[in-house]
Amino acid sequence: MLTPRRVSQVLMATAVLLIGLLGGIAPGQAATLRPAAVEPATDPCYVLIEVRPGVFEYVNICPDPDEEDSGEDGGSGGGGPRCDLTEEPYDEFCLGTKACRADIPSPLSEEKWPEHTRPGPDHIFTFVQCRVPGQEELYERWRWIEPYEDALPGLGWQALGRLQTPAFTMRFEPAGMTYVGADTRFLLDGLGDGEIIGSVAGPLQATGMLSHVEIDPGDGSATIECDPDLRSRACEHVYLEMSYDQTAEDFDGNPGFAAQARLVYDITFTMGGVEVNLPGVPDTLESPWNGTVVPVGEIQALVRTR
Amino acid sequence: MSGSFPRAGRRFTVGLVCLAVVAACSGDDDSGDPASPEPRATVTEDVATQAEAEIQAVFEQFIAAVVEAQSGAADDPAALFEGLATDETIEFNAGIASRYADQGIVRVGEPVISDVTVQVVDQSGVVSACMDESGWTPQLTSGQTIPPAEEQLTPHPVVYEVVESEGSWLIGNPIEPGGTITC
Repeated sequence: MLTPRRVSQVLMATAVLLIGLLGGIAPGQAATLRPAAVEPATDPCYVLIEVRPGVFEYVNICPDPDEEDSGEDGGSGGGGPRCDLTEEPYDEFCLGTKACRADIPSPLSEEKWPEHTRPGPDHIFTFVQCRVPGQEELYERWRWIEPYEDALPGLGWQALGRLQTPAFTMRFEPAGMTYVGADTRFLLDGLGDGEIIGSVAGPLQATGMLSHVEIDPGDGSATIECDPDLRSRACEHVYLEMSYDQTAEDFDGNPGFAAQARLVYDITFTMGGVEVNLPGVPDTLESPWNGTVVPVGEIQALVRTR
Repeated sequence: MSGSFPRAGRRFTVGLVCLAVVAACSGDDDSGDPASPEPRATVTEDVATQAEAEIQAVFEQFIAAVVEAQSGAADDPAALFEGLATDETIEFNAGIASRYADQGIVRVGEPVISDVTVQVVDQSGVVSACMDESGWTPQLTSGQTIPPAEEQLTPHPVVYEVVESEGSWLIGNPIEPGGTITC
């Protein structure tokens, strides 16, 4: 019965079975073993934060049991606040039943935040202090929080501070020297496309659109509001006096009026792409003044020098 | 508190002058300031190296206090830093200890400190060192281990301000190493 042929068949089958088993199990084992071996390293709750230069602190960033089912940390979740927000300064928002305040903006710069654990784009990582019901000791923790509504103005100021107005230059026509009674046109270079975008401050982003330019002609007359790119509001001024007695001088040493300009931007704040209104935070931003010296002569003087 | 500062400053200045012009340093320059107790060149030089030694000792005790505070063994972590650190630094470290206690986190073992250097200018200075935290493991008081974060496994520089207060040196704020120190 047990012919050599039969034996070889059995051996062959066993070998195939073994290979099949090994081939099938090995990846399977790897798949089941790997997470088990790596599991501790992926513990999502404990992160190491550099809280001061060179000083690290382990932080459990997971919400406490009392915070469960409150995905909205801002106290804006359904059913109203679950904590007592009557005691200052722990009156800003609820974390579960805890009444809290937070350092806003965060004392930690954003590159120190445990970004991989960020619950959402609107969250900021900051230091939180809370009153816990029935407990004397304060709850203090580094946490991800969604800034509550009233905290947004603070972040708005921060976002505003991150907007940079362009460095522009100012010139005028007729170039070199203008004349009493003539239309003097001011031109600004380096304005870009008129839009400035700030980096994100927590959930907020500030964007500025050039609204207009303010020009002080330097001869004591009122500031002109104009748009250097639009003919409808051209930046023009008529000087009524010569500038020979002015102390400011141009590069050639000609006395002139110290004219200056600044850019005025309309600012909008957006959170997750949606525009938000921030009470108390300015909705315009002015650039620093920048200027040029405008020598003003008389036409007669022109005739004589020619 | 600040009463000792001018004296120490003068002492240090005297030291500098003496290093430059040893012959001129006969102690006469001290006559205008009877409060300055150590006028001689040899003494002031000793004072400078003594200060460095003192700061190094304080730093080592400070790190030991940090380890003790985070080990969960101390009832009053702030007391561990008494006479070793400024009030702000004591408060900050006690804060970490209290947050650890609150979360049931302890750190066992200790960091390895190496390459300690001290620079003293007047009544303040800077102490810097390399800190290897890989043997200073986080654990939960329940016994469960916390996986050490990757950042913990690479030695990193630490730099602290040191300030003189009432004749002794205190560890102040940690400051950015600024890439000048590599570990």
